Amino acid sequence: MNKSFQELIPSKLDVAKEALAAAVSRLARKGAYIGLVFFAGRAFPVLNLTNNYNIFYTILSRRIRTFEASAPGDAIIEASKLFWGTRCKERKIIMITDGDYNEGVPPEAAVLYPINNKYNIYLIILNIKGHDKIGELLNKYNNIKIYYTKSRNEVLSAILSIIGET
Amino acid sequence: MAVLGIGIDSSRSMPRNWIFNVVTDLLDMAGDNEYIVGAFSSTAYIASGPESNPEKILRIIELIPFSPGTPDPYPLVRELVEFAALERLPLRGILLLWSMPKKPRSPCYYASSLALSSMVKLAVLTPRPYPPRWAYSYTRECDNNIVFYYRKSKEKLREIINFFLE
Repeated sequence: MNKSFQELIPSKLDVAKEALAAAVSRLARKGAYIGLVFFAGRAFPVLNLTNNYNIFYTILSRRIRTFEASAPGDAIIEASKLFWGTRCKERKIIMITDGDYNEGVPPEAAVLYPINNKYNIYLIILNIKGHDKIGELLNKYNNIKIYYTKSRNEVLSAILSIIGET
Repeated sequence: MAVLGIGIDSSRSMPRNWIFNVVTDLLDMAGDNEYIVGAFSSTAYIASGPESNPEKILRIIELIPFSPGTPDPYPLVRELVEFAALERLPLRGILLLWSMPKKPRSPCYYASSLALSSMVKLAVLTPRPYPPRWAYSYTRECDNNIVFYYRKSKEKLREIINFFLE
């Protein structure tokens, strides 16, 4: 089944949740630590880095309220902060977004700290309408990899590729 | 070696060449310290650090983009204090390069109180030739945890370094 997002019921949010759940079930085997930040016009860190995957699934399964506006820079900052004070050797930030940016810290500013500290940043852009400001702003950085996806299967294969499961 | 914070007002009212000159002089005078660089407007973020390489620090400062909103130092002071606490860094002082708008978004009292309770000194250096009205009353009331300087000079920078390291 490789329907485009326009045809998808449920929504982009559900596609993102489904891909995250698949990724985390594989990361659990490796004992990876996982945190979670939701964002719209603000960013909300909801889970500090943990290897308690049940909490992750519980949060993911709850109904998420959606808001207008998009502050991806704030989300990158909050995701970076989850690593403060930890000794994680490999630091990956995966952002699933529709590519819009109209609020908060400029994304090119938000990536300065993680890039300088050798974090890897992955953007999965659910490119439904073809507008992706964040991709345009961040495609110049070497350690930011951008995946443009048009279907549920492409999101899944992108996230599995990021965690080294393909 | 001490750890010091540099907080850069990233609003359009701050002349970038002025910021660059101040930081260049600071690093010439006190290059044997480590620096955490952050930026603030209505939001705040850490851009790099701790870093002791002057070239890297200056390159980061060049990359900080302009951000909208009235510059408010409190969120950045909070970020720096939290970062230092979590990463166990002995942060001694924060130099705020701030346009000091006529109507501050939050009173400087909040930033200096947080710094005071965290045993961190604050210095404000501004390109303004004279203080805004609010700063006169503030300067009279404040404790010995914060100093204000108007216009840059090497002597003022030397005083700030001594204030942090005394």
